[in-house]
Amino acid sequence: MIDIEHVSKHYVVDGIAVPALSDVSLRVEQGEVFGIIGVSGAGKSTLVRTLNLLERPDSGRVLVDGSDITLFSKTQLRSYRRKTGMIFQHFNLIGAKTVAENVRFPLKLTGEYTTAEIEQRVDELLELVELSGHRDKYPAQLSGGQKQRVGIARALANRPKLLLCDEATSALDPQTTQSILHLLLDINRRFGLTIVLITHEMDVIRAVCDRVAVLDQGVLVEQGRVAEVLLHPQHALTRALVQESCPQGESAKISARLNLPGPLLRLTFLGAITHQPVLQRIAAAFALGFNIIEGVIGHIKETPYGQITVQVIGAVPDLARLEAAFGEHSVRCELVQP
Amino acid sequence: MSSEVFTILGSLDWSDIGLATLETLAMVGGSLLFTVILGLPLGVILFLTGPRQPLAHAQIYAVLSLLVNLLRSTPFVILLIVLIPFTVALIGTSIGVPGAIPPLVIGATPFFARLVENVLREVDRGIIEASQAMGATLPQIVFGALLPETFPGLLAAVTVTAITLVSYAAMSGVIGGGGLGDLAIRFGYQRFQTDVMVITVAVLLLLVQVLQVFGDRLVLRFSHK
Repeated sequence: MIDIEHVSKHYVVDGIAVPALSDVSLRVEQGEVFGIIGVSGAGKSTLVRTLNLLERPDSGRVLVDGSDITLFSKTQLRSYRRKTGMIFQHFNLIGAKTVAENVRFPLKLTGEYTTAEIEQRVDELLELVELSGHRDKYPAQLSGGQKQRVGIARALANRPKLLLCDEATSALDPQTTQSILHLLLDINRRFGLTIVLITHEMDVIRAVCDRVAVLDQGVLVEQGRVAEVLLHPQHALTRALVQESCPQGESAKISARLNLPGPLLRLTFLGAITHQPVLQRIAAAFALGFNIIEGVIGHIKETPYGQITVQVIGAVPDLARLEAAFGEHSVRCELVQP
Repeated sequence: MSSEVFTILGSLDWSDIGLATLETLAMVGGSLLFTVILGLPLGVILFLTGPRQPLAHAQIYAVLSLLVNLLRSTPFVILLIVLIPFTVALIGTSIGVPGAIPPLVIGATPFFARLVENVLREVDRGIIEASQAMGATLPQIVFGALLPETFPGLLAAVTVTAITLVSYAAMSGVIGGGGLGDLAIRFGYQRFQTDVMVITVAVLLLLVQVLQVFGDRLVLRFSHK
């Protein structure tokens, strides 16, 4: 379990102090995938780097399993870092070393393993990331996705309890991004590994994270379970980020253009109910029609969800009764426009 | 014409030229060895103490940098003369092949160190960061990541330095160093034997060419870009 408590950090640029993190506090539970999202320059990279002290906070504490890592001696910090994997946007592999040599590097650093143990572990890791056939290739001969797989194998070499991902998929195409995200999820489940990732893409958060924190100019503006934050964003930045990944909010304009009477309702489905014919049931019960204006149906991690805006067609009954009927199906109903 | 050239060449003492070439090779080889032994650590320290590097230290960097610049800005001919007492104190003589090596090493080490520093600066900072994140000690970062990553660049720096040493070694003929430079000065310059001069320059050119081609091959052999 990780507790970041009141962490602040500033940089000096041309003699002027620029705040990078301002009094950030958050908790990451054991075994969860925790996402930190923000636009570039928000301080995400700095924040994730405070978790292995590549960036040292000016003030505040970083507690990992109860001990404040900012107080660690050099030796303690090194052994902590050996148990904390990290992967990077640009992979940061050693170009002069083969795939196997890159993965071997962190294992040799510890001085704890025999050559045979190291070789066995390298084989295991390459198998895990599906690169067994590429062990003697150099990074320059690999695709971006393969390079990141080497990065992941290297990060997992010393069986870390925590994996930090710094924009790990930002340099990859969408398909490769998906395969890397699946690999991360798989690792998270199989080894109970805690993952903290930073990204500027809400799609990444939606695909793998359990909880998310939104960072805006060094300030934590929102955090919570991904479904909650994604479906009911509170902060303007969060809404903008959600909007970017699945554009919504044009309903009023669309209905004006269609020139249809009837109120607009936003319906939010989460879980198995997403795949039930709720609209049809309610339409039948109230003798109404629903015109779907816009919406999205997908998955948050593995949980199905949907959020659609519908226009009620027909003799509109008491809206409260309609809301209650949706509520019975655990579908959240909000009035967007009467 | 061809018989004339033949006559000129025929009058040359080829064994002198052969000996001088071997001496030059000995001077270049010997001084290159010590230049690398001294210049590589100096270059690594320059890099590590430089701005925003793992051992960033403004004062140490400034002093080392000044020392390197001082030696590099002194014309090598001057350095040769200034160092005579030092060379005598160090190895007992300032002439011949052994006498030439200390000034050659002192002249080339700062040059090589600066090249090493520049090669290391080209390394993606992310590689150092990744190594730190893995819990590597500074020596582990230097020997396990930085030096392997820059090996081809370092080989290129050694090649450039070797070529510089060929010309420095020739210059050391001025103060009684051995080799081709000595031959060129004593025969070609002082006795007006143009043929010796021409042959000396030709051998030097060949030497530089061979070094460059060999160096380039090595660099290519170890590049994985």
